[in-house]
Amino acid sequence: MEVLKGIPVSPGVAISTAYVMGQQQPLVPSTLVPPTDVEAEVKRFSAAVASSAVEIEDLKSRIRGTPAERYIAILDAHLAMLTDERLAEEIGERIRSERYNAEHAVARVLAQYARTIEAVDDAYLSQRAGDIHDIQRRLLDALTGKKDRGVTHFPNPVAIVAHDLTPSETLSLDREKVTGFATDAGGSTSHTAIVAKGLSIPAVVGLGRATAATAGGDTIIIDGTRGLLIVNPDVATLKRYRSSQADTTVIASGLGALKDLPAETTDGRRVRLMGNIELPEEIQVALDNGADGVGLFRTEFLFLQAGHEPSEEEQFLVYLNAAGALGDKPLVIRTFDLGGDKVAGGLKHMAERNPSLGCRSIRYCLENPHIFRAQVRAILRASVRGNVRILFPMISSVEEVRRAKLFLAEVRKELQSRAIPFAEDIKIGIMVEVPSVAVAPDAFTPEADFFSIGTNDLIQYTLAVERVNEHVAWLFTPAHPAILRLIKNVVDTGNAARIPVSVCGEMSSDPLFVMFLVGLGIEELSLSPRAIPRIKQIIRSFSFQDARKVAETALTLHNAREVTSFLLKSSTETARVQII
Amino acid sequence: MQVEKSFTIDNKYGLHARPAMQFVQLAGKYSSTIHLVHGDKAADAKSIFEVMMLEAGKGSELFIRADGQDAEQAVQALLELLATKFDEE
Repeated sequence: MEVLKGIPVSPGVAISTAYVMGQQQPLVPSTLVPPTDVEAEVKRFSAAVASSAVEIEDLKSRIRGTPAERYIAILDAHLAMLTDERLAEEIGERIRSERYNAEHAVARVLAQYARTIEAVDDAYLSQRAGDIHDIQRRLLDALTGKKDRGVTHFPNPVAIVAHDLTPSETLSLDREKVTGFATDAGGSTSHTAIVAKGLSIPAVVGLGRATAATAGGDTIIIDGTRGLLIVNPDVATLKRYRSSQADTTVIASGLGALKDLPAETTDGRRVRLMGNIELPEEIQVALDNGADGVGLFRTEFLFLQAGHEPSEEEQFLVYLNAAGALGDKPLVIRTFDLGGDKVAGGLKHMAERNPSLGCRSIRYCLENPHIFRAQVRAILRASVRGNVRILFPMISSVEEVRRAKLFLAEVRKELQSRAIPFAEDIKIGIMVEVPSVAVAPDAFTPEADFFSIGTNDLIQYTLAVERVNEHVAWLFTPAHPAILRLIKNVVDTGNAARIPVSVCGEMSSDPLFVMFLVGLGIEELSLSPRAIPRIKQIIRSFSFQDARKVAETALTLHNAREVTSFLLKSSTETARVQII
Repeated sequence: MQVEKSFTIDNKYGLHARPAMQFVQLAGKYSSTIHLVHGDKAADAKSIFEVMMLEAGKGSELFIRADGQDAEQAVQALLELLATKFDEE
């Protein structure tokens, strides 16, 4: 059994025989044509364009009346590219002036276009390179007389494993036979991903070496919810997935009953489950799912929604209403966690070579006191109601915490001098998401009332992996021993100093890690509201004593794969619910 | 006749494949030569590749120039298309 981690792009589980498609880029026959044949070569290209256009029209008529129909616009865009005069001119020019054969000219020119698009500093635009590859492949197949790769005709159900699937191949998948797909390449906003999601085909992309790890005929599990490809699963895993497939609806209906029960282990250890929210409307969703409060209120929407700097009054109303809606349950408001580019609406784009290490988040706020002041004032003023706490993101040094707190103290004085009320004892916390804090948390305990571990950034910074980069995404995992140990370090230090530690970030909504986190001694998890019932159900199924042992053992393992298999095994054995 | 206007790309994902296609198709209906300029890059508004390679993501400030008999109508129609934000989901 081998488990690969990629980018989940379309949820659901497929268990099937693997159909492995070979390397995408066939060798391009590269020759020089004699001067007398140049015009014939240009005509050959025009003919390839014409027959490719017919193929696309065929595909369009095939998907009309099926759920894939709404993606016809993608194919229309492909048609527009195929028939773009600039393309014809440039390819004609290559053939005429350099006497390349049509295949070589097509490969060269379109590869150049794709590279240009790929280099665009906009995740969405750059993924349109996939559409250019699609055109390129289609033209090359037409020129070399190759038929399509046959993703449409399977006698039996299969799960496809490919280096990459083009958007039009994804559109042409036979939903009766293709249960899911997994690819080496690809990103989360490619048309391939969008189509897979729209058509509910379980899919994982960016796996890096899916084709290398799989042989045709292998049994595979594609877990599009968690981004896993499991090759030749062992009997237990297979059984688990099979039964979880059958149980999904049963579980979903049973979870509602948990709403008013505490998240408590079988031996009575209570864990607070808080909601991560982005919009004020989600508070109700969190409460409906039984949240003990809001552990992370992201405030960036205020900027992104309004498209301008939100005023103190606008913010005050939002925070006050949110605090009111929660009653005495905590509302942890995180100050703006934005890059300078986003704050200025893209206009005053600060050219940073390395934005995630640049002037963003708390750093940006400290550099721009008018923005920070308005927010801090609004939060303090709102603190008269409910149970408001303030959380500073992306802290990397004690000096930053001190500066932020000094700032807060000044705002307090201002408010006092104008007799504007606020909660004197508002709790101030810091995000632990930069390794410098996670390595030396004791330096920060005197400065903070609580710690909130942001696992997404902590993983990115610790493992030096940008999760949206398809080439390295497979390295992104909370199961890395370094991450487990850093979290333990923070929890131990926090507990010794009696500073509450919570974990927000996606790790806390992943069933796989619940036992580990609780076993470490964490008493608060903040997660996406809809994941709360599931996580609560899991917490209620194991004992703290067992969880501690699981955490202890997990910490001795040496790589993410061992950790994942161990947690999978032990959670299923000890906890009585299916983890996946 | 020459008409020039500047505008900001306001749809969610910028001028990527599908919006670029709609834009290019509409531009193709006019006889004027139409160019889009973004920073130091210029594109023939009738070539989908050139428009995609403008790197016009959300918030980009562009500048459109049309030369020809129907320049006025062309620019107006294209700006109206942009204003619909391409009916993105």
